Order: sequence, then structure tokens, then C-alpha cells
Amino acid sequence: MAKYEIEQLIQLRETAYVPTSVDFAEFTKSILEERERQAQQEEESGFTGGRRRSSIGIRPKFKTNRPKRAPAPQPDADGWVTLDNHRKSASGEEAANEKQKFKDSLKSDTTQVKVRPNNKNLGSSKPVDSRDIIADQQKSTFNAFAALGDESDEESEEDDE
Amino acid sequence: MSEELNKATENLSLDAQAPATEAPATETSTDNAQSTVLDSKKEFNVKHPLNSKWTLWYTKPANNPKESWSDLLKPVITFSSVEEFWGIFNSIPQAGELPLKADYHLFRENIKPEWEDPENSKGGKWNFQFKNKDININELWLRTLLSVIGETIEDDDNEVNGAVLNVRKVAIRISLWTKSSDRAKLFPIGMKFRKVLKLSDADSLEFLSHKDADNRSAKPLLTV
Repeated sequence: MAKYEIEQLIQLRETAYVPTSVDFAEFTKSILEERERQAQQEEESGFTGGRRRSSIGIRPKFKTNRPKRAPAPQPDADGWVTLDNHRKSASGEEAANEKQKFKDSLKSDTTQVKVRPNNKNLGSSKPVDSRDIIADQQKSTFNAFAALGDESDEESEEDDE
Repeated sequence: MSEELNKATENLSLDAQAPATEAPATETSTDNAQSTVLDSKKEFNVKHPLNSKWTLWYTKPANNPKESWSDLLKPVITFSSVEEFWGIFNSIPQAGELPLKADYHLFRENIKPEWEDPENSKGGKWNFQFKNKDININELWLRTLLSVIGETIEDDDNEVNGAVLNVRKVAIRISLWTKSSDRAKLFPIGMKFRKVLKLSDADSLEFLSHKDADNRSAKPLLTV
């Protein structure tokens, strides 16, 4: 059985003989074309390797609940900028007048809303009668005398035996 | 030029066969005139025969999901001498030139590079994945091929059925397919395969049985 060491085979490389039964040029061409096609496809997809790299392609957008910033204060006609918070005072005569005005607006007819119960989806459209409630009360009550009577009967039966 | 040719053809003549272990060159013709491959590329009669005939297969990457495995896997050529091997090897793209998802398979003639083949079904494969792309994959694949066709990788006759190269995005994998899963036969093959692939002590070579090939969580039968 003939065995060839790797080094022996490498020495014989110059003796190469190309069989003519296969068109190796065509074979090689098809492989290189496939390789080029893959490279082109990779370029088009924009994917250049790596796994889910955030630096390439579409980045995820994370929602943040940042408080909205107040608009920057603008200078007035004299060029002054007021940084004080202008809040309406809750005391004083002016405030009392406003409160009264608000109360009056609630009392006016135009603002009152009549609330009607919508009982169409209830089991019965009739208003609940207080007598019905009484009728639904538990009828059977515990009768202590009746309970004592049962015990005496049992005892008498045992005596008979 | 003629001197160079003479020097180059010395090793090919019947009289000048160097080591005793090396296979003798054979005459394929009854004609006494010895002509080497360097004399004539078509008409030469001194060759270095291989013990077996080997078939080179190629799996092209799937471009269409309808294409089946058998559509993609095609035999390229069968050869039986060292000279033919080199002629083929020099004419085809190198391992590093293959596109992704492509495979080269070198198997003994009449053995298909499939688990289902009767010669493969009871065996498995020594397997190593090169995740580092900086390695010289062309050299390692060539060394694997030479050890297989030269049959120095095995002690027993025809225990190795073939070699496979898988080019993938994550890694390049080189496998050695065996006929059986006999540990006693596999161990020396694994040790020699380690040397062929120039693995370091930190690298481990695993043998997986084809029966466990579908099971991704299967543990290797043997590790060296």
C-alpha cells in the first residue's frame, strides 16, 4: 500500500497534470461570480459585518419622559428680562371677587346639568321598592325550643332501645 | 532550460524513486520509453498512483429556497494520481476564495458526502472550527487534502472516507469523515489530524457521530 507524506506530495507539485475532462475555467468563473454577487448584496443591504451593531443602520428610539422646558424669557421693550414667576395671588379682594364669580357661574341655569339614572341596562326597569327588600329577608330563623325538642326525641329513642 | 527539466524529471523516473516507503511510480503504458508529465502534458506514462480514486465535490450556496441539498451538491471530477491532484488543485479556487455557504468535499470514489451513504452512516467526523479568520486556511485545507489522499492520516485501510471544508460567516470548518465510530481507530486519526491542522494545546478537536448530527445538544463522542 503506497503512502505519501505531505512533504513528498508537495515536492511533486511541479508534476501537475490538468485533466481535460472538466472545464475548470468555467467552474472557477461561476464560483468567483457567486462571491462577487454576495459582496454586492452585502453592500446593498448596508450590513458590513457584526451583530446588531448600533453604530450601523437604524438605531432604536427610546422614549424618554423628560419635563418640557419652559420657553426662554424674552426681554421687554426696555431690554429687561424678568425671571420672577408671575402667579396670581390667592388672597386679597380681587381673588375673593373671582371666587364669587366662579361660584355664581356654577349656580346659573345654563351650567347646571340634570343627572338622570339610566336604568335600562338593569335587570328590572322598575324602581326598587322598599317592601321588596323586606320580602327578600331570610324567612327561616333559628328556633331554640324546636332544637331542644329534637334532642329529647333522640334521647327517648335511645332509651327505647 | 533543458537542464532544469532533466532535474525536475529525475524524481519521476522508475530508477530514481527516492524513499522505500514511497509508492513506486508506475508505467501506464507498455512502451519502454519513459515520458514524464514535463515532457508532454498529454502523453506521459510515469505517474504516482494513489491507493484510491478520489472525487472532488462542490456545494454551491443556495440562492433559491426551492433548491434542495442534492441540487446544490455536485461532483466536480474524479482522479487517481498525484499529478492529477495537483493539476486539479492548481486549477480550482482556493479555500479562501470560496463564497459563504459553499463547501468542498473530497471523498473516495463511490462515497457520497452525505450521512445517509452506507459508508458514512455508521461513522462520524473529526471536526474543528476556525473562528479566527486570520489563519491561513488555504494551507490548512491543502495539508488536510494531502494527508487524506496520501493516506498517512490513518493506520487502518480506508478508515477515513473523506474531508470537508465548510465556509460560513461565523467560522471556517474542516472535518474528517470516518467510516466507523470505533474509538480505538478514531483516536490515532484524531491525534494526527491535530498535527495536520497545526492546532495548539489549547485547541480541542471533537469527534461527533453522524447519528447525533441532528441533535445540537449532543456531546462529542471523543475529544483530543
